[in-house]
Amino acid sequence: MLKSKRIVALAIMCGLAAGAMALVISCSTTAFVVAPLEIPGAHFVGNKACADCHADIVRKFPMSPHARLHFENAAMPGQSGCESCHGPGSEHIRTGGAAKFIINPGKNPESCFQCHLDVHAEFNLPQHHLVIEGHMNCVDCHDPHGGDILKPSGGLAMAQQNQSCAQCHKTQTRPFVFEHEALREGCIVCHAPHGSINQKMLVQNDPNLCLRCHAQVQGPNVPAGSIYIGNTDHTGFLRVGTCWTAGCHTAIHGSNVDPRLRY
Amino acid sequence: MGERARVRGQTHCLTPQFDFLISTPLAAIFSACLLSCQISSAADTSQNPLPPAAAVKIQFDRDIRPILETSCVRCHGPQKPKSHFRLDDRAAALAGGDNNTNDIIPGDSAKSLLVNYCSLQVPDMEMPPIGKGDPLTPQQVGLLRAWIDQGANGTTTNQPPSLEMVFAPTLRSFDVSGNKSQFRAIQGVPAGAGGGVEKFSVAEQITPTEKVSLEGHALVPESDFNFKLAMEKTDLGFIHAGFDQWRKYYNDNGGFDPSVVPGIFNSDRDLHVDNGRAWVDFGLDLPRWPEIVLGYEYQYRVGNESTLDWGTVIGPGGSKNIYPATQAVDERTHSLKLNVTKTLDDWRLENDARVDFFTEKNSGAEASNLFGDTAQDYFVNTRDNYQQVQGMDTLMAEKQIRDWWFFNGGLYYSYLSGSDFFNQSTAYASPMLSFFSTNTLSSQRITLSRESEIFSLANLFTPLDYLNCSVGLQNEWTRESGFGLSIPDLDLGNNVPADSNLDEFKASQNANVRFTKIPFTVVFSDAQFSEDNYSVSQNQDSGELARDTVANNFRYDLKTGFNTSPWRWSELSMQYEHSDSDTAYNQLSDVFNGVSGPANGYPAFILNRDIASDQFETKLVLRPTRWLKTTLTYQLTATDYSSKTDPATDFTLGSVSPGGFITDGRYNLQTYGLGAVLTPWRQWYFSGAFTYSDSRATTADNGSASIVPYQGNIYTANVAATYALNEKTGVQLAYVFSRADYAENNGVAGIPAGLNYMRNDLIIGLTRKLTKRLSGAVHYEFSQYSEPSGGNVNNFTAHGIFASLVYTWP
Repeated sequence: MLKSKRIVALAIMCGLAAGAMALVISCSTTAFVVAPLEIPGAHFVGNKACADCHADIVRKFPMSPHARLHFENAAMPGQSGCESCHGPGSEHIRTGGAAKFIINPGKNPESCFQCHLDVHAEFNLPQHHLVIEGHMNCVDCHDPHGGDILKPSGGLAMAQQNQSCAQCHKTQTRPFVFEHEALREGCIVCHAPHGSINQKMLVQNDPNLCLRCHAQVQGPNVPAGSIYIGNTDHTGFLRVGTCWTAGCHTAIHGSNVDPRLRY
Repeated sequence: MGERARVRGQTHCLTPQFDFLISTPLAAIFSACLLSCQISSAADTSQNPLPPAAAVKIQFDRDIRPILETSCVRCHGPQKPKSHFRLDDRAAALAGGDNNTNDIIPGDSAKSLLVNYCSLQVPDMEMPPIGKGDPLTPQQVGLLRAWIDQGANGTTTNQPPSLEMVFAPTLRSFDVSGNKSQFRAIQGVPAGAGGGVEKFSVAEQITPTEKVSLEGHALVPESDFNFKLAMEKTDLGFIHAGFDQWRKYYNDNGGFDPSVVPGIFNSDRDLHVDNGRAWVDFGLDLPRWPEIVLGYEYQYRVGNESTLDWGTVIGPGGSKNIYPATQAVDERTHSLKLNVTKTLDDWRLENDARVDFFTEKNSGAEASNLFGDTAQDYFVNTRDNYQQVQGMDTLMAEKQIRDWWFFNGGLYYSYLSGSDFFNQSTAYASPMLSFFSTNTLSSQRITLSRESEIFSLANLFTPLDYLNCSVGLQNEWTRESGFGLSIPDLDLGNNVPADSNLDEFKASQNANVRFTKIPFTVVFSDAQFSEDNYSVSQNQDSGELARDTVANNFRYDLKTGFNTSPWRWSELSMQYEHSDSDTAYNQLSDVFNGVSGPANGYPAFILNRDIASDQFETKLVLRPTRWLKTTLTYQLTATDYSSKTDPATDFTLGSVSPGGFITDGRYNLQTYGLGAVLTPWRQWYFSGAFTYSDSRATTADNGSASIVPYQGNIYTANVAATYALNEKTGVQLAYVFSRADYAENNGVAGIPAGLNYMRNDLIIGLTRKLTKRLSGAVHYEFSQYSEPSGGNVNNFTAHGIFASLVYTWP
């Protein structure tokens, strides 16, 4: 305990020393740091300027959930509209559309994380889609400009069920002779799509996940502490594992050979 | 659109008989002819003479560049120039656009159309267009005239260098103590040395209209590769090609149970899956032609991953399923696509056709440890060979029909045909027990098909400046059928034919309103409804299964909220959402395992299911000073799950459920967030985000000791800071923290599946500009992970050193 206190004290003193040094040095240099979403020399110009070149996007943007938070007369600049995600646009316009003077959230999720703090946090949990690592990006699954945020860009106005997930997870979303109807409620009924502490990004890692839909009124012949699901006593099965780790319902997304989704 | 309508109106006054042409591809050509006549007239006989040319020796950077950059290049720059007329390059400017070649005539500003447009001499062709920029002053027009009269020399803004290049090699080394398998699963890279090229790019502007670029990265041993090639020529087309691959690592541990010794096993396998794709797109972008993209794409997932089909371990208190399982993954998709986009009469039409060929050859291996040691004694091997062909076509049309009405419509058709081979066998490692090995669960003739049609409409109305609303509908028809040999419950050795059919019709509608009349405020409401009617028919021969279900799902999602920013230093938004998904099942036929329902349990067992959720979230942004911005968020979610079932009867116990309604489960979640961005000095940048959430999920477990509430807290922090020591040197710091305490204390009666862990990751780095074109960076990373709920088997501590160079040209 004493050792850890010393380490903490040392860390605090080092931090203060570094801060003091930095403060002194900061007054004597002309170098500067560009914070995310800042573009050197650029200022906010408003959505209408963007429409000159990006009419296809701007004219349908009011249908987007993102647009519901947007209004031109906000006192705080740059909080909503095109530039809240793409950065101030004046230099982009001045240079006739140079890509290096505008932020593309499709390549870097930093813009999205400015507002979606909870999503950013989920991407830092042990199991997550590899967005921060750069192998995926937000627009792979979300259409930031269209009417339905829960689908990838392009295509019809509204998402089909599990459309974003099915792009990559074909094995789980293909047709089956015996389907698991939970997929009709959407993949996110069981999975946290951004990240989770649980393997396979499950929202819960224990039998509560399945009992949310498969609980039933237990009859008087069933003693307290026992669980029947359908007409099968699951008490012993749940003792050895969860519904899927116990080696039973392993074909949880659907089966071609077993109506109980075991194979 | 407003300007377009105005132009059409004015043209109508001039030449009513040619009104229809203004909206056609021939319109621009014809209009140009008309306007040329007018311009000749205007130039010669204008009532408002052109401003005189400025009597100065023109210096392009001083006199002309600011005018072009402020008023012209935003539309007539290198990116999608209007009328294909560019003013960022002298040669392109002199070549003219779609309609004219005499926009700029060196030495003759009076006859140069550019001057006439900019001095508002030509109706309908004022530049900048009315409403899209302030008109040029007579002095500015005079400077333009003098520039043209003196030869129109000089190239405008920021002409990119002909060659740009970046090359950034990197090396790293991670020293890991503890569980290396967990380290690479969390960190994404293995322990030991690694490196490669973190970034490379070469881009050359060969001519003002031709550009070639190649960029990417290549890192080993994690097989992280990315190459993108782009060849583009304005008004002709492009070739985009690339290859992208990344590796996902998996821990080789199974579950943990302290009642078993040892409490955790590992498969001692190198588990990783390579995810990749390669693609090539050929695009044609000729003026007045449709935009055409023809492409091929190949996606794959190949490797070995962990699965949750854990095997049995025999412990002192009985068996537990915690032995790790793996699966060999081999999934490949070949895709062909043809996209055609064309704007006709202000209608934007797009047709996307695609054919996917998908194959899946996955083999699962579930091992068990039955005899009290750590060896693998018993195996369940599953093989699934599946392939499908799916053709899809999407046709979309959209148009700004009126200033206040935007329309979007679409049709989608898809047909999928698939086939599957399934086999499951069991085997004992001991030759003495090989007699008990089986190969009974097999099905070799499974066929599947799915056909879907979708019709979609969406409209956006803006009747008033401060009000817009959108309404949409989408109807979907789907038919699925499957046929094959299935595995009956009662007679495992003899497969029986099975078939299933699904017919579905789903209708969805949405509407939303956005109102901005209240000063500094927007108020909005959303509503989404969908009704899904489907019938499911499933049969297994020999009376095993006969199920006919007609289901109706009604779902709605209502949302309302506001966002207000009355002062420059604050913004507040709130939103409330209520959603409900209610499904009623009418079980018309219910035979299972030879027993007619309704008391025979699953699969035709649930009569009704409802998921109702309420969500509230709020966000407050404060910017008390220029250098500090804070964001506070709060989110509350409460979800109730309820259902109604048939009664159920057990052969020996009799009635085990009277059936009826039950609240299956409840889930509550609260999440608090705090984000801050500080830039107190121009050399400083600091950002931090902290979140805390607590959640609890409970279900109707009838007091089972195997099941405990799933509850706990999650804490996360992300901190990043950058400090510029001087012009050449910068210091970076990043810290990531996360912790969860969902551990469950049910090891005796069940599996403690919850997770209790803590992760710290600290990076301290230094960057220095070594020469004009070369900079270097080094950084140290400390990573620590501890997982008490897994018996601390997954713990690791790692120290990493990174070094990289970045060479840029020019």
